[in-house]
Amino acid sequence: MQRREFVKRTLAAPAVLGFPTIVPRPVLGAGMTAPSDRIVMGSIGVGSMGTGDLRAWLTKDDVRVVAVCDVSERHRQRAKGYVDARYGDRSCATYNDFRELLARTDIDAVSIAPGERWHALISMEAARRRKHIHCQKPLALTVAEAKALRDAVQRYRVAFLLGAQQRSSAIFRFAVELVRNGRIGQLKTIAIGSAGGGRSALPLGLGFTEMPAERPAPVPPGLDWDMWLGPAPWAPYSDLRFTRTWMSIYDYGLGGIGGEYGVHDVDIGQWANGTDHTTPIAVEGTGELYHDIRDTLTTYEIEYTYANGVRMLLMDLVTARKRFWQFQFGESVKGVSVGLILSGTEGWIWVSRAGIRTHPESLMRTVLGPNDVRVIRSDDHKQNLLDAIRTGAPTVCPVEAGVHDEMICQMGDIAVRMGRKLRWDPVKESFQDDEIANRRLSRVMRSPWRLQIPGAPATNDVNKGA
Amino acid sequence: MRTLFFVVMAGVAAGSAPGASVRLEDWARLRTAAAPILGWKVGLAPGAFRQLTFVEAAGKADALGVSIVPGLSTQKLSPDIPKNVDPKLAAGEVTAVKDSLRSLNLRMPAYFTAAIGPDENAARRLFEFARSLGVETVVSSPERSLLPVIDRLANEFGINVALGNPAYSDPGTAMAALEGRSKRLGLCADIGSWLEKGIQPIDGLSLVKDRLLGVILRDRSALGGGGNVPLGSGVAGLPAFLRQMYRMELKPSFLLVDTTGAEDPFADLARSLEGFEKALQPVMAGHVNRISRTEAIRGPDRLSPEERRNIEAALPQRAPVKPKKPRKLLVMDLNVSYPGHRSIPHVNLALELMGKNTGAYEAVFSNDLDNLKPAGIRRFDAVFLNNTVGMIFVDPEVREGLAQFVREGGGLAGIHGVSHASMDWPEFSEMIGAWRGVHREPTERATIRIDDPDSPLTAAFGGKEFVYQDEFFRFPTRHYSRDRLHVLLSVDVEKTDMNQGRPCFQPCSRPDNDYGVSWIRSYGKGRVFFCTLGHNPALFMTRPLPEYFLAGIQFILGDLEADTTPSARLKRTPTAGGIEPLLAKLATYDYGDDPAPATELDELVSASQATPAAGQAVEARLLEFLQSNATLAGKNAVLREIRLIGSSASVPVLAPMLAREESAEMARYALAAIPGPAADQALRAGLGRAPNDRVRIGIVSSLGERRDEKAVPALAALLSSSNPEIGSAAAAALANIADRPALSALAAAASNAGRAVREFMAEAYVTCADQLAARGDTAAAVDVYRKMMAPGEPARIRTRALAGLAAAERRKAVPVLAAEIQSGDSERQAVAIGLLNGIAGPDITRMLVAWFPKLPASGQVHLLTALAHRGDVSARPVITAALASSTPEVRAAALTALGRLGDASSVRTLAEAAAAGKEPEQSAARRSLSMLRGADIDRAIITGIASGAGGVKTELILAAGERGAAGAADALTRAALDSGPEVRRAALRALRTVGGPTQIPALLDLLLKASTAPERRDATQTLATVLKRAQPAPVNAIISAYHAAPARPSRLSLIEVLGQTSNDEALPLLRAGVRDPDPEIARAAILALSDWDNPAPLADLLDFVKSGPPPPAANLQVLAVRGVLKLMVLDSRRPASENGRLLAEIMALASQTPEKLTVLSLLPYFPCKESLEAAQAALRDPAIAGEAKVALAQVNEALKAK
Repeated sequence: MQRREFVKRTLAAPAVLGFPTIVPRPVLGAGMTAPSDRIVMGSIGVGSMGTGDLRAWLTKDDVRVVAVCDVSERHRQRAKGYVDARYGDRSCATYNDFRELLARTDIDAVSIAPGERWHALISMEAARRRKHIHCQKPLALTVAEAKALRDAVQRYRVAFLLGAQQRSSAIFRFAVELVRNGRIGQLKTIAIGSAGGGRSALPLGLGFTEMPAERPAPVPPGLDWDMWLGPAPWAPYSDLRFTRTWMSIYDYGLGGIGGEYGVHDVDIGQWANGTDHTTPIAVEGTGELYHDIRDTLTTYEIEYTYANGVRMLLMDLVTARKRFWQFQFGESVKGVSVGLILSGTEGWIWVSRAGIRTHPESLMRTVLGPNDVRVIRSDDHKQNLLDAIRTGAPTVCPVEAGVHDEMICQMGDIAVRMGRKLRWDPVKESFQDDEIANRRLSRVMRSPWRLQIPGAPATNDVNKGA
Repeated sequence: MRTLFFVVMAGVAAGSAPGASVRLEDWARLRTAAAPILGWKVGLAPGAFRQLTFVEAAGKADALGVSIVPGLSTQKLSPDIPKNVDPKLAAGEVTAVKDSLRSLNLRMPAYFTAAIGPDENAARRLFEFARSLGVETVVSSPERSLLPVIDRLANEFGINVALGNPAYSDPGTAMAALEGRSKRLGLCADIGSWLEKGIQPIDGLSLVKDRLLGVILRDRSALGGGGNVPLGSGVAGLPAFLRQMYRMELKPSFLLVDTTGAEDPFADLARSLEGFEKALQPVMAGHVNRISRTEAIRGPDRLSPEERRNIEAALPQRAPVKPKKPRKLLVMDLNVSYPGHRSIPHVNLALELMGKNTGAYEAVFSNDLDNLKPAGIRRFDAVFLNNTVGMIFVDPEVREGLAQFVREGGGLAGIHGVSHASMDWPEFSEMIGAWRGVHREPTERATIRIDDPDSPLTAAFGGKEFVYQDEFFRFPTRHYSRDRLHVLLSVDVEKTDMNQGRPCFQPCSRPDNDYGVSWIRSYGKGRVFFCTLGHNPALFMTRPLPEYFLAGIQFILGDLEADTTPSARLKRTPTAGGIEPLLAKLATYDYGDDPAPATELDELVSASQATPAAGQAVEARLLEFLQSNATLAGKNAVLREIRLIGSSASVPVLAPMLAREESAEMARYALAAIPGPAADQALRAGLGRAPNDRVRIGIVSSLGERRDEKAVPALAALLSSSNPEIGSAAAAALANIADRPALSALAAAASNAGRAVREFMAEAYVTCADQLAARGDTAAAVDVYRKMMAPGEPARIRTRALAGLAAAERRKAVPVLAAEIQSGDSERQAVAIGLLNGIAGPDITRMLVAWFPKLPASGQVHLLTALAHRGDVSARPVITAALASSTPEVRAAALTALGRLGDASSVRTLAEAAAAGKEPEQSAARRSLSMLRGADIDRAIITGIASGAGGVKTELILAAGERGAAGAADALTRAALDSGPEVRRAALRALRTVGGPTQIPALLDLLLKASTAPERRDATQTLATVLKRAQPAPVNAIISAYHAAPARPSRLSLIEVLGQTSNDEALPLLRAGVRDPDPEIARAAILALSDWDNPAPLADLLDFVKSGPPPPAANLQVLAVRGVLKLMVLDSRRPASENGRLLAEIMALASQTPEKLTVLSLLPYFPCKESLEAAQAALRDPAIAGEAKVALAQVNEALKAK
């Protein structure tokens, strides 16, 4: 229904001339979606995560995916295959350069899922082009990028949804509402068991008992390696870097603490604590780095302090397994490691994608009453963005929340790497009186990339590169 | 320490394979230590495992940790040789017995046979057989007439004969029979038989005295009656009995623990052995304490004059620090049932002299364990254990004294063999950070690394590693761990051949290859120092090791402060030496090489920032490296560090690199992060010298990000570059710098630039305005915004300008925003509505409301959403109007807005919209009904339920449930009783969330009256949920209803309800249900019991499985097996061994593969012998052999972890 430029363009395009902006439903019959009601989408970054997102969009009748973009020809063609199979035609355009896709005026929204070194840059360019955005977590590679992205989303007035999809899950929402309504008394501690810690159960590095040595090799045909690297320092191509380990290489991400998993539960902790609009004020932690091609944290134990006195503990799986029992939550929580423990003065909740447990157990049977606080209800994360585009309502995980999730992950990583307690100024959004720590809040990008995207190469607008 | 492992060596000499069980644990457990210390050999009674063969029983004895196993003439030899262990065995078969004993390192000091005889020849054959097995004592119950012959043969063969049950179970009878016989003949006391006869064992002892050749230990529940009970839990008075035996200095050749006859002899014996150890402990403690009082310290008189001279020459003359007060160090060198290391007197002398020469402490030498008891230990500042080996700390008072001393701030040091002291005392192993340990030959040469060169303890080494020859312990257990210990010295495995000399006979390599040599730790408030060196006496003759020990002693005394952070938690601190090996590797580093040095450099550089001086030193060294001829990849790794720590000192080195193509990008990576004008200047200079456009663009961006105002003229000049990418980069940079000159340059570019970059210039111009506004120059910014909102500008530029204007001017921007809304462009409308909504005030609300009719549908949707979030209820009329819209999306948006802005009067509207059943309105209306807030909303809903009908009533009922409106429960109950099927079902569902105890009778009634299956299901679930919410669930009414014998479907439902309550009051009914002749009822009862939230019904289900229902009900058995498995994991307090036994039992009973697989998957959670056996047994079932193998490995791993 949100027609913007599409409307203008289609008025000039004979193929669709004649359709009114809104086709009355009875004309089409129940269950049909008018073509002009559909939100036109492009998918940028169609590796494993991005392809998963793409296929989710393809299940939606009120979405029409028209283009995919990836620096790998193989990924592009695979994604195009899914799209064309869905619509029964061969119209899906493919792009190597995201700027070309974003320059298309017929596209309303984009789904962004390359490596996290690209998240903010592509999202900002999308905002400049006034595309609504679904961006995979984490929000950015640095705090500076995250702030710039927030600025762009606000200034270009687009809808933004971070792929922190636990917010669209009933059990997480239930846990958060229990906390917000004081059902565990006053919230005291948020303990998180996240990814990392030796042989992580999560995708990256999986299958290696020992990390092999990197073998630089010629760039395979069909891959734009320079574009893959993007703003990160140059490095030679290798299979290991490209396919398996990039998420845990510091040039491209924070590993477990960030994109691999960490930000998901940090996000829920923030939601439960009611601190989407701010961050903790102090952080300290210990941890260990991988010492192979990966150079991000493998084990870590980070403690944050909020201005409201709440503590947040962020740990890798292995450490969490050792520490979770210390909360003395009784025997039922023994052995639990992934997920969060939200602990208050009168009870606790353990929640993860695997399930939820509470103490006292009767909390599980809580029926929230008509005057209890409720958070935004979303049961389908991606649908939440579509609704926001149509109505102008805020999304369940907007950029304003995502930016703080990102800051928390970053400040934890920095505190561990620097080995000292750091104080954070949530207004200035930087460390207090610590120039060296603050240097880590941004990174110098490889030319020609910069926080404000270089102008797109002159293009003829639509359908180029199909 | 070779003699420590004499048993091992004996095994090797006899040709047994390495890996065979060895009795190192003789030092670790009282049950085995009793043999070397008190001369009491402890084993299992003959026939403790009646059903097993001798070889199998020997395996059990080994598993129970005892060292002797008696022979029994009626026991079969092995599964392969099913012949009795008696003189009829062939020679080869005798060898088999001996082999099996040897492989388990067990001995057979006693042989039990019912009788000896009937004649001398037969008796002789028996003695020969006994001799061939190395038997010391034959236990038998011979004819009294044969005793003279037996006496003669016993002396001839040197084998004792003990008279035992049945004929000699009475001590009086036996003593009478022994009269006049030699000391080779005695008796085997079965104290269980004594108790049965009413004889207290301690009294029996005074009767039999030194005729006691062996003891069979049993305990009974009563004297002169009762039954067998585990040792220590009956009336035998075992502690007094053992004490008396000790006092009388009796040394029977065996003490055999018997079973009580329980079903599971293994668990039974394990329990009895524990009871035995408990009774033995006071005797052992008294004995060891007594030894400690008389055991002299090994003084310098044991050393040659040359040795003394060598020691004196190597000792330090000055202590690292002056003691805070006079210090006393207690030194002990006690060894129990172990000869002790040769190095002990060397260490003693050194400790004495170091204290005297330096004044650091006074060494007090004494082995008296009383010194460690709470009263005595306070006189000392620390305790030094000089190679103490064996069962030393047995007395609980000694243990508590030492542990409390350390916990409360005392010091403890140990050297070499101390990890073998009191291995059954976990806290001791925890304190010293090591347990047991295995080693190769004492001639190993190892390179010792200084793990913490910054510790004051290692100052003597000057950071330099050294080679040393000694016996090096490997600690494969968790006690040694960098998670707890601050390691000071360790074996450098890269420079040490870890396979020198004879191999270890135990696992001796660690997966982490970490072999600590010396460490410190904090324990409570106390300090511990441990060094594993010291087998060889050279220790205190080798400089600078004595100096190291002195520092360690001053540390435990509390005079020398040292960091005890566990090594694993330590941030590596940089040292002058630390960076060099890394830089050496990085000098030749290329992509694809091991990147660890780069990561290590990163860690080191981060840590170097702790002090400014160290940081500067590291930076200087890195800059030197950048000017060397190191590889580019190596320099890139270093440039990453310069980015993080570089100061203006780095600029002169980086600037020239910026001008060279191959190094420019990474040089900028570092340079652009360095604050200060020097770096600005270098970047500006680099702009002119850039080797290519890509580098130039990078520099432009960096200048922009740094907001270098001095760069503005140069950047402005680049705006008209022939390369549009340079032009747009310059524009972006200027926009970021955003001073007035930058703004002028961009203003010109925005109006004059060529078509290709015009839009970008315009965007930079607006961005520049945003920056100005952010810094307070609103006037300049507003000028730009107004200019860039002109109709000719691209839409996105105008959007930005509009957003900028709204932020800068707030209310003053309202007319502009209003104009946008009136523009007729749906996109511009949406933007303007959003921006206007960000401004507070009732006038804005009125303005928004007024526009509603003029907007197209999409604008109306946005407007309604905006008003809803605005929260101003004065907007309600427009919502009412919107509800009449012809566009469904608009109506839906209005219904959504009602959820936020509505009141009680909206309830009916929403219910009607929901009842109309059209999307998207229905979803919106339902959500709003559940979201509406306010005191009177629930009342309106309740009233509506009572008065409403049909769809509206249904929707209100659903809403009451969604809202959790507890006040609606009565209304819902009435609705559930009275209305049509739709309403009834909705009401039942709603009651699931809001129903309370008062609704139970009505719900029960509904269930019983339900006419259709779906209705019954709904009622069942609701009743169950409501019951469950009330704790404890009131089940009496349900039980009564069941007994009122309603129809079968109702009974099935009631059973299901009871199952979900987990209320024990329902158990009798369900137990009976399991045995109900009606298989449907039985099935429901089994499922109900399986649903229990505690393991109370486990036994019932297990019984059912065992009783094996007839074939038609076999599927019920499968269900019950599943139930048992489900229930057993609910009880986390049940011991692992019991769970293991249970699982093994279920495995045997389960008829279906899936259940067996479930059993296998559960086994690793209960690591115990039983689980191991169950997994082993499963290997034989081909259907599950693969999974069994996995389970076996997992159980083994879990057992190890334990």
